[in-house]
Amino acid sequence: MAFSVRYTTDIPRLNSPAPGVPGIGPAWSRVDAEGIAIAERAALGTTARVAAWPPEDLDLALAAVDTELERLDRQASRFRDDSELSLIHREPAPAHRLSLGLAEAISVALAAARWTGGLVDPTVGGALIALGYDRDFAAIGPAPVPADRPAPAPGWQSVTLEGTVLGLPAGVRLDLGATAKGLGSDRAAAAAYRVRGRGGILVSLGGDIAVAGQPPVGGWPVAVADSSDPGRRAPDQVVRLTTGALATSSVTGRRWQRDGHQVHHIVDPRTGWPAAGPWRTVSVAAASCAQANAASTAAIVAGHDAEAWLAGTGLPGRLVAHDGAVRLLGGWPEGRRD
Amino acid sequence: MDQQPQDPRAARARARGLRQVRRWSNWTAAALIAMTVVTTGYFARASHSAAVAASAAGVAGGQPGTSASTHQPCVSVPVATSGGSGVTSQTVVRSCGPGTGTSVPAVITTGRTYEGGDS
Repeated sequence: MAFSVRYTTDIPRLNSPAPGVPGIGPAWSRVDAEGIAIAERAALGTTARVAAWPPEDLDLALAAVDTELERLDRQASRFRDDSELSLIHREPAPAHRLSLGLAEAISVALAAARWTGGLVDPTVGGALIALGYDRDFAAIGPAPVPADRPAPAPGWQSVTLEGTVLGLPAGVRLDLGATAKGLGSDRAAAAAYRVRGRGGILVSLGGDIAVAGQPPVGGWPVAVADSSDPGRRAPDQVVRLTTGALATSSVTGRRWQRDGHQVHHIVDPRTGWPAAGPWRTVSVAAASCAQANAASTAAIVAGHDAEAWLAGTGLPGRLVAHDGAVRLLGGWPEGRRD
Repeated sequence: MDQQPQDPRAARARARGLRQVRRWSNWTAAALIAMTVVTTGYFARASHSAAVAASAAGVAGGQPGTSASTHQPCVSVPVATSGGSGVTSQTVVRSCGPGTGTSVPAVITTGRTYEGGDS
């Protein structure tokens, strides 16, 4: 089954946010090198990085990225009380009229669930809350064990979306984490390229990377790392991305203690507990970052079936097992360890 | 050699005919040029689409290719990192623009010790 979704292109724009807006961190830090410019800021609980060539007019690209990230945060954040998603969760109703942007984000999440056979599922929100991931990750600390034990996700089939009308059963909590950051990179890269209309753009949201326009010679060089641990973060490989997107999912980061046990944020919808397969990190390249993000997460969840599932998609993928063994699929380039 | 005197009306008609032929010729040439441009553009787009289709996302090994346009920069060191809850700070950037022959290292430091994301 193909991953099929068409992004909405005509969504009313928000004003570019000022520094300090919830969800968006302090202003961009910028550096110019020969031929390209790079800027970085904290956003959406992670780091946003933009690389562009030519380096002129980078501010136009950054403003476009800010707009997209702020809009996505207002639409789909689980951690903002004033987000559209939070309002829906608080408002028991058989049907909700959504903004075009949130409808798009949920349609992408449902498409990913259908495409992965439920390996990623936006109805894992309740399981994540039961695991203690009920606030921005940086704010998670020692806390009482939540009363609810994680349980299998209600299932994406229980959610309906017709146009912009969402049907959400009572008590079902959505988490768009497996696709939303990828969608954000896709939206931001397209918007930043559109506003400049020349050269090339790379947007990375916490390592979920989308490119638009023309890449540098040979493609954008991107380091692929197995771990987010600052002590172990030397890149394993450098690949070049000419089109599309690249995303990595890993169980080595975003870990916390629950009831004396360490848990992580990639939940198996079939159990409601963190995925416990043989792969610790999976990187996938795809036409869109939302698809790459869904595929890399699905492969972690698929466990021992990950190789067969990912091979079936035909997408280039790199899997790293808990013992460090690396498996390359779908034409992922061989490469040296740096 | 005897030359027959030219009839002025015949000469004017001949000149008109020649001008018309030249106009047609000019229009034909312009049309041919336009068609060539359109066709070239189409195949350029088609070949680009084919290249994209051949690889859902263009991903290659770490060495840059040799076919540089005069405008594209040559970037030799990673500009971003994909690593799960990805660390993207403190990447050293060095580029090698065509014709520059030099490289400038640069470091971005955000001061954050942990950069994570839900992935």
